[in-house]
This record gives sequence, structure tokens and C-alpha cells, in this order.
Amino acid sequence: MLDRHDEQGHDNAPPAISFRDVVKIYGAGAAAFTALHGADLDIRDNEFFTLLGPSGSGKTTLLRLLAGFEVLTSGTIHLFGAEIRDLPPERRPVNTVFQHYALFPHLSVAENVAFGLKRLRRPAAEIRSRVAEMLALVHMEHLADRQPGQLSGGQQQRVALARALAPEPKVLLLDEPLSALDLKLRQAMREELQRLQRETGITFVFVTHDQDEALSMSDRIAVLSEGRIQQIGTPDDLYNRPYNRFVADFIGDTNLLEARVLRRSGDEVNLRLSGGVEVTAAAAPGIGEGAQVTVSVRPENVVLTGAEAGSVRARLVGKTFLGASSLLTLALDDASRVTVRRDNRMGHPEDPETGAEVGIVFAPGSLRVLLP
Amino acid sequence: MSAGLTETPAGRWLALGPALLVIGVFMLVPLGIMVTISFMEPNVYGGVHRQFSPSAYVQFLYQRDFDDNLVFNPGYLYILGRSLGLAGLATLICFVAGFPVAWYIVRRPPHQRNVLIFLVTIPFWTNLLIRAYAWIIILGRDGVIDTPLRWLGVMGPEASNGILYTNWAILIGLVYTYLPLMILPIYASLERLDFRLFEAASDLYSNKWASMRHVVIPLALPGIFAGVILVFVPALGDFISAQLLGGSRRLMLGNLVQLQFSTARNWPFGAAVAVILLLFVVASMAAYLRLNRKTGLELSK
Ligand SMILES: Nc1ncnc2c1ncn2[C@@H]1O[C@H](COP(=O)(O)OP(=O)(O)OP(=O)(O)O)[C@@H](O)[C@H]1O
Ligand SMILES: [Mg+2]
Repeated sequence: MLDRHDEQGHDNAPPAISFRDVVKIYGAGAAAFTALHGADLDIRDNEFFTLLGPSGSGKTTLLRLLAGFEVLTSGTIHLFGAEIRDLPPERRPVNTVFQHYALFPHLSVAENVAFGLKRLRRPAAEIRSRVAEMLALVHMEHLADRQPGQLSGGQQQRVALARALAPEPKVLLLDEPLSALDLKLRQAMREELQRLQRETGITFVFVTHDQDEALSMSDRIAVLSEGRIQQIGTPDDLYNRPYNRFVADFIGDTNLLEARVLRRSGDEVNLRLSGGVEVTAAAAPGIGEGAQVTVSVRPENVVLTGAEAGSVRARLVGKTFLGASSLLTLALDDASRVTVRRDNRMGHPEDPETGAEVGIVFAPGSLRVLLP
Repeated sequence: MSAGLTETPAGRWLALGPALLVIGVFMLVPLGIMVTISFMEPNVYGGVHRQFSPSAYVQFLYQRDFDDNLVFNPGYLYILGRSLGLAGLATLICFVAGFPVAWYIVRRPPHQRNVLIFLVTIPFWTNLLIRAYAWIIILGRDGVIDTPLRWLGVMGPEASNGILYTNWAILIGLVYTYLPLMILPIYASLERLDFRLFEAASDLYSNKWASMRHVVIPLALPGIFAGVILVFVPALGDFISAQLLGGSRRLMLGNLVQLQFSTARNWPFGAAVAVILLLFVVASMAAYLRLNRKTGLELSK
């Protein structure tokens, strides 16, 4: 568990889960719908891995393929090196926390938690102690004899978690388990989930469409859109080094500027923005000279200066006060808009008045050329 | 006005009045008459002597020998036993056959389900007697069942009527008649089942059988109990199957009652048998309510 952030250690171990060219088509004939177009994905052991994407992007489909509730159309899924195509759900060392909890209404909380262990024919004494341990882990020991119908949403969610953890699966799948909870409880549960993952060392595959949830909890994230994986990386990678337009736009706020590539040198390119200014930006291989590209820069990486000092001239057209920071909207010479985030620290210079002429500079290394 | 009527307790009784009247006149009064008659002396020409006597109940267990001593006679107990046994067995078979049917129907797409349920109810659209006579032909000598059984040597030449006029024939008739009454309530309770629970069970290491046993059946229990009652109670009192398919020698309680009021002209004894039958029905209903309240409480908790 200690080496979970040690990249070296992971590179040698086989991935806990690997998807290769996974295609899932629902239905047939005219009604056929391709929910996954050849997904490739490796999830490491002991990782808190998140599938992030808008509604309908295929997150649940990936999870259901992994749990065995759906049959994949083509491709392979390996679990700890073993192909699992023909393994029914009950033979996979994988447990699921369902979005709708799916607690058994005729069983008490303790019986729900014991369900998987009983089917595995564990000795009664072991089941009893394991159930007590799991209920303590999710702080539900005082409600062990309740029926699920007598629990609040958050309590049901914790029972669902305990039930899925009890058989000590190698992988825990969580499908938007926090979406039904109110904000406060959701935040508390985020920390609890992270704690549980660290304490148990189980690989978590967590599904959400909430980017804050994904960024704050995950070791790594896969961003999905329309059945395709857009990018896989750490929260830092996704936020600071978005790969394409979808990821840059989906995660956080960003400015998208049009530009033409002038020169390429190593990982960097020289660009001319549509307003005529020349800048340097990081670019993935494959972007050659003369290409028309989109560049992303986060609002906090755009720095306001005096009108003459900046590399780009602009006019302030709007201000939004957000408390800790403000968002300033600037119009460039070619009428494109740039948003700037400014901290509202005490003693910070006042924001200029709307209509003022200002200059901006881009923080070094903050511009990124996006793939379409 | 009508809403106001049902709000006070007196108003509520008043509103229930017609229903209470119907139940009272058409159920409780006849029941009272039946119990009263069962405690009277028979009149050989039909009807009764208005005189208290437990002799009808005594007759159920004892008979008088030549010296007018009471000796134990298990004949009627056999009939009671046969009734309970056949009704119980028919209920069991109906459950074993009906549950998979209900499960199958409920797993079809909705538009197919309605058609299938309609098909299940079709036998009800045909007259009961006609259906029973159809079975006489099917089960009787040289019928579609008799012929292959003889050919296979399962049935010897001594069975002159095939399996007609045996307990098996009665059983087949009972199962056939009451099977839809088992399927329908089970279907109704399965239809309300959340099938995602089935997925949750398989996620927690249950194969199909374990999911069925530990999730589906417990949640379908109210429907199963209802089906069991709906089959067992009428099967216990059934006399058509026994009369037409069981022949004259294999009576069920229902036949015994019918016989006493028609040919035997022993009204008190017929009424007493009917009371005994009623006691078993009430006992099974009480067991049903108890079980249902227990599982109902658990499910609603
Ligand atoms: N059983 C099914 N039959 C047909 N199409 C389906 C089925 N299940 C999902 N789909 C389709 O596949 C696509 C992906 O669905 P999926 O449930 O994986 O999305 P998701 O990313 O989990 O979305 P959400 O955030 O709304 O849960 C959707 O367009 C959906 O309509
Ligand atoms: Mg989903």
C-alpha cells in the first residue's frame, strides 16, 4: 500500500484491469447503438481510478462489462492477467456499489452485508466478525438490525459500500454512488471513500460525471465522451495538460484561442494567435508547421498587466466577483474573448474599471496546443 | 356530502351498511343455519328433527355395530385424509409448475406479457364440466395417455379404465383446474420485483439458483402464499374433479357433503362434514394471514 504512488513499482506489476479495443454495441439491426468504440484502458492494482464523462458517454457500460452484467461485442478484458469474457458475474472477484444501491429489502442491514460471504460459504464465525468489522468501517454498527427501507439515503449508501467490501473483492466498482446525496454528506463521503480505499488497498473504479469529485479523489482519471476515451492521466495531467479540446473544455474553465503554427522545436511550437501576437506553447507530436490549431490557457494563468507592459493588448468588458477570486472578461483586438482569474487577496491592486485598456501576459508554459 | 358521510364513525358504518347487509344475509345467516343443522337429528325423508344432537359428528368417527355399540370407523377419516393429501399435493404441483411459468412471463417484454397472461386465463373461459369431460376422454381407456402407457408396459391389462378413476386422475384434474390461480398472484408479485436486485445478487457470488432462492422467492412470498391459499382452499372442497375423474369409489369431502344432501338425505351429517371442511379452510386462512403479516411487516420495515 505504501508504494501506491511509486510509479517505478507499478510499471513492473501487471495491471489489475486492462481493456483492449473494447467495443460494446447495444441492440441489433436498425436499433443498434455503439456505446463504446474500442476502449483501451489499464487500471493499476490499489489504484483509485475514476471514469469521468458526461451523461451517456459510456461510463456505466464500461463498469457493467467489468462486472459481467453485459457481454462485450468485441475486444478483451483482463483481470489480473486473466481473460474474463466467459466468467459470469458471480465468479468475478469484483463487487459493485450500485448507483441505486440495490439493497435487498427483505434482509436486515447485517444480513445484507453478510449476503456475499454466505454465498461464498464462509464459516459462520468468520461471517459474523467480518460483518461487524465492515459495519464499523462505515459507522453503521448501531443500525445493524434495521431493514433498508428504514434508512436514509446516506445510510443506505454506506450499507451498499459495506456489502460490496465484505467479501474482500480485488476490485470495487462504484457507479455514481454519491449522486443521490446532499452536498454536505457527499463531501463527507468523498473523504470516507478515500480513507476506505487507502485502508483496504482494494482497487477502486469510480464512476462520476462530477469533475470536482473526480479531481479531488482519484489517483488517475479516464475522461470519456461519446463512447471514446479522450484522455487518461492524473488530475494534474488532465487539468494542466489537457490533450484535446473536449478535455480542456470539460475539466475546469479554460480559454480557447485560435492560432497558426509557425515553427516547431522539440515539444514546443511557436504560434501566431489570430490577433497577430506570437507565443510559445507545448504541443503533442504530430502538430506540424503551418497547422491551424486551438490553444488552451486556464484563466488563472493569464496575468493582467498595464496596457503597455503586456504581450497582448486587451480591453476589460466584464467582471464577475466570486469571493476568493474574480473573473474578468477581456476583449482582444480581433474581438476574441479571454477570461482572467484574479485572487481577491487583501492588499491586491484593485481590478481596473470596465472599459479600461489593459495588457495581458500568459504564464510561462501555460499555453497548450489541443488536438481537435 | 358523501365525503362527510364517511368521516364520522357512525357515517362509516352507515356507508358500509349495504355491504354488511349482503354479507350478513348471504353468508353469515346460511353459515349459522348450516352449523345449527349439523347439531340436529336427521329425518329419513330429508330435512331434520328440531332436536339438539351431536350424533352427526359422532358419525364422522364411529359407527354403530349390530349390538348398537359405537365402534371406531376410519372410513370418513380416509376421505378427509385423501382430500387433504390431494389438495396439498395439487397445491405443491401447482407451485412447482406455476412459479417457473410466472417467472418466464415476467421476463418477457411487456407487450408479450399481456398476451401470455391472457393465455393462462383461457381455461376459465370454458365451462368447468366440459373441461372435466375432456379429461375423461384424455385419461380414459385408449386415450392419448393410456395408449402409450400400455404400450410401454407401465399399465397392465388389469387397469381397465386407464388412469381414469384413480387418485392420479383426480390430482390431474385439480392441478389443471387451479393452476392459473397459482400463476396469477405469483406473476403479480414478481412483476413488482426490482430485477436489478437479481444483478446485485449475482454480483455477490450467487448463481441463478441462489439468486432465486435467496432473493426472488423471499420477495415473491406474498404472491406465493396467495397462490397457495387460492389453490388449496377450493381444491379441498372440490367435488367435480373427484366425481367425474375419480369415479364413484374415490370420494373427497366435497362429494361426501353433496352425497348427504342428495341421495343419503342425511342433512345433519352433510352439514357436519361441511363444518369440518370449513374448519380446515379457516385454519389455512389463519396460517396465511399470520405468515403474510410477518413477511409483509418485514418487507415494509
Ligand atoms: N441496455 C441498453 N440498450 C441500448 N442502449 C443502451 C443500453 N444501456 C445504455 N445504452 C446507451 O449507451 C450509451 C452509454 O450509456 P451508459 O449508461 O454507459 O452512459 P453513462 O456514461 O453511464 O451515463 P450516465 O452518466 O447518464 O449514467 C447511452 O447513449 C445509452 O443510451
Ligand atoms: Mg451511468
